[in-house]
Amino acid sequence: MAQGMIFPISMAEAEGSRTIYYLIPTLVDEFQTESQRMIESVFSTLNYKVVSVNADGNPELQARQLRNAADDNPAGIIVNAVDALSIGEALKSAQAKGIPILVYDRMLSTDEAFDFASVSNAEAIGQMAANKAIDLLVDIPGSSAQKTILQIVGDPGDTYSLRVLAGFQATLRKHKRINVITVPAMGWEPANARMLAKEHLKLNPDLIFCHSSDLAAAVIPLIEPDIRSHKVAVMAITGAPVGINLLAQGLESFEIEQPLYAQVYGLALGLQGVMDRKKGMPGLKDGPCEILGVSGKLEANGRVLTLKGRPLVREDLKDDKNRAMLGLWGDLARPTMSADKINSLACEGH
Amino acid sequence: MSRAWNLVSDIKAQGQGNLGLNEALQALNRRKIDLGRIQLKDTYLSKVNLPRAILDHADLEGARLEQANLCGAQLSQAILKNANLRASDLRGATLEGANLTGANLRGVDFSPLASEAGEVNGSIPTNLRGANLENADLSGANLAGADLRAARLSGAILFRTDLRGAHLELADFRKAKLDAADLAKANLRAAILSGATLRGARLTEATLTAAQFDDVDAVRADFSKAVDLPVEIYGMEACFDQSSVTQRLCGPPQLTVSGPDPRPQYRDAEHREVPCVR
Repeated sequence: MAQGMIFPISMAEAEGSRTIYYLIPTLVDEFQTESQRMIESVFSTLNYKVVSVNADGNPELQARQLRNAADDNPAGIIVNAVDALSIGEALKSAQAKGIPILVYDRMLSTDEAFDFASVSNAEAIGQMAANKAIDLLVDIPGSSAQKTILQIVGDPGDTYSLRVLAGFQATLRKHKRINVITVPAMGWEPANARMLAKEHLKLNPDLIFCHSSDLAAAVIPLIEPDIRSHKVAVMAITGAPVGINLLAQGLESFEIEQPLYAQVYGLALGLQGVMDRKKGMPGLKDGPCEILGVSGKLEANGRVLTLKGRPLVREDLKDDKNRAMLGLWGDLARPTMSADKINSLACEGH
Repeated sequence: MSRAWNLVSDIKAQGQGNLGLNEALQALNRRKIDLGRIQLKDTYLSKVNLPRAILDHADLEGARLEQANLCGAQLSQAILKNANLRASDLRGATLEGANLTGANLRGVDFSPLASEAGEVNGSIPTNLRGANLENADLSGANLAGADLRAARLSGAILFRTDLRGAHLELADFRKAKLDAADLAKANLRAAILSGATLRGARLTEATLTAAQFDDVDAVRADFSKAVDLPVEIYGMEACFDQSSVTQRLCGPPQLTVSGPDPRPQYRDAEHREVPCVR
C-alpha cells in the first residue's frame, strides 16, 4: 500500500464505532491467553469495547468470524491468523469496507490486505536461538563430534514459526557438524510435540529446541533424567509462565521471551497511525521504534513493526528483585498505562 | 436406505468384490449422510461416485478406488494406506492428516475445486496438510496449488507430478523422487529435500528459504528466478540465475528422464470441467 494513501472513511468511523474485534487463533497456550487479556486491557483503557472470538485452530471458522466482524463495522479488527494462507479473501473484503485491519503476532505476507502489523522479530529470534544452541552443544559432553538438534516447530500455517526456523537454519548452515532434524507440531498441540519427541528420541538428540514453552513442557517429562545428567539440553521460545518455571528448575537451558506486552502496545500505536492516515495525516514511517524498553523497527512504509525477543537464562531468575525488575510476561507482570500515555506512544522520527 | 446401510456395514462385503457397495454408498451420499469412520478396508470401489462425501476417519486401507470421484470429499485422518486411487478425482478434497502411505496416486487430480455459487472463499485448494504420503506413488498427479504443508513424502515417487504453486512449507521429501516434476512458483520454505532426486525438475520462481538440499541430485533442474537458492545447487549441473552467477545447464525434462508419461490424457479436458455435486 502506498505511503500517504488516504483511505476511505468507514461506516465505523462515520458512526463512531468503539468496538474492536480480536480474532484469536487458538487458546491452546499461555501466550494466547495472556495476549487476549492484554489486548482487552489496553483497548479498554482507550475506551473501546473489545470483542474477542476464538477460532479454535479452524481456519474456515476464522474466515467466517472475520466476515461477521466486518459486517458489524467496528473501529478495527485485530487478526491473529490461524492460517496465513486461507485468510486472504476475508481480509480483502473486510479492508474494502474501510475497516482498519491490524495483524498481531502471526505475520502475514505484506501482499495481504492489512493496514498494520505488530509482531516479534522472528528471524532474529531464530538467529539468537542458533547462537545459543552452538554454545550449549560445546558444553554438552559426548565423544561424538557430530551433534544433533531436534527442532520441534509449530503449525506450518503459522508463519511466525517458519520465520524463526529460517533464522535458525541460516545461522547453523555453516556448522556442518550440527545436524538439525525439524518436525512440526500440528496445531501447536503439546500432545503432538510429545508424540514426535518420542518418535525421534532414538536418534539421541543432544539438544531439543521447541518453538514454544508449552511444547517444551510436553517433551521434558520424557527426558528429565537425561537433562539432569546433562546428556541432553532443552531450549524454547515464548517466555510463558511454564517456560519460566522450567528455566528456574534447570530443566530448560535457555528461553527467548517474545515481547508480548510491547507487541500489544504496538497495536495501539498502529491503530492511531492508521487512523491518522485515513484523515490525510502522514501516519507512521519507517525507522527505529522502542516500546516498553523493547527495541524494534518500523518497515514497509510504517506498516510493519517488528520487536526484538529477549534471551533468558536461569541466572536471570535467581534473584527475586532482579526478576521483578525484568517485568516478564511469564510472571504475568502486566504493565499499566493511562490512555494519555498510550496515545502518546511514538517512534523515532514521528 | 436401511438396505444400503446394511450392505455397507456388512463385514462379508469386505474383500469380496463390489456386491452393490458402490450403489449403496452413492445412495447414502446423495442424501448427505455422514460416512465418517466407515470401515471399508480392502473393498472394491473402482469408479465409485462420491462427490463431497463425508469420510473423515474412514478406514479405506487397501481399497480399490481407481477412477473414483471423490471431489470435495472430506477425508481428514482417513486411512488410505496402500489404497489404489489411480486417476481419481480428488479436486478440493480435505485429506488433512490422512494416512496414504504406499498408496497408488498416479494421475490423481488434486487441483483446486472451482468455487460454486454462494461460496465466498474463492477456489478451494486440496488440503493434504500433515498427510502421510510416505512411499506413495504420485507420478503424474496434479497437485497444482495444493496445500501439502508439513506433509510426509519421504520415499514418495513424484515423477512428472504437477506441483506448480503448491504450498510445501515444512514438507518432508527425504529420498523422494521428483524427477521432471513441475515445482514452478511452489513454496518450499523449510521443506526437507535431503537425498531427493530432482533431475530435470522445474523450480522456476520457487521459494526455497531455509529448505534443506543436502545430497540432492538436481542435474539439469531449472532454478531460474528461485528465491533463496541453497548454496548446494551452485556446484551442480543445473540452471539458475543469481545475482553474481548465471548458469544455463537445464533442458526439457524429457531429455534427461526416461519412462512413460503417467499423466492421464483426459484429466485437463474432463475433470476440471465437471461440476462437483452430489
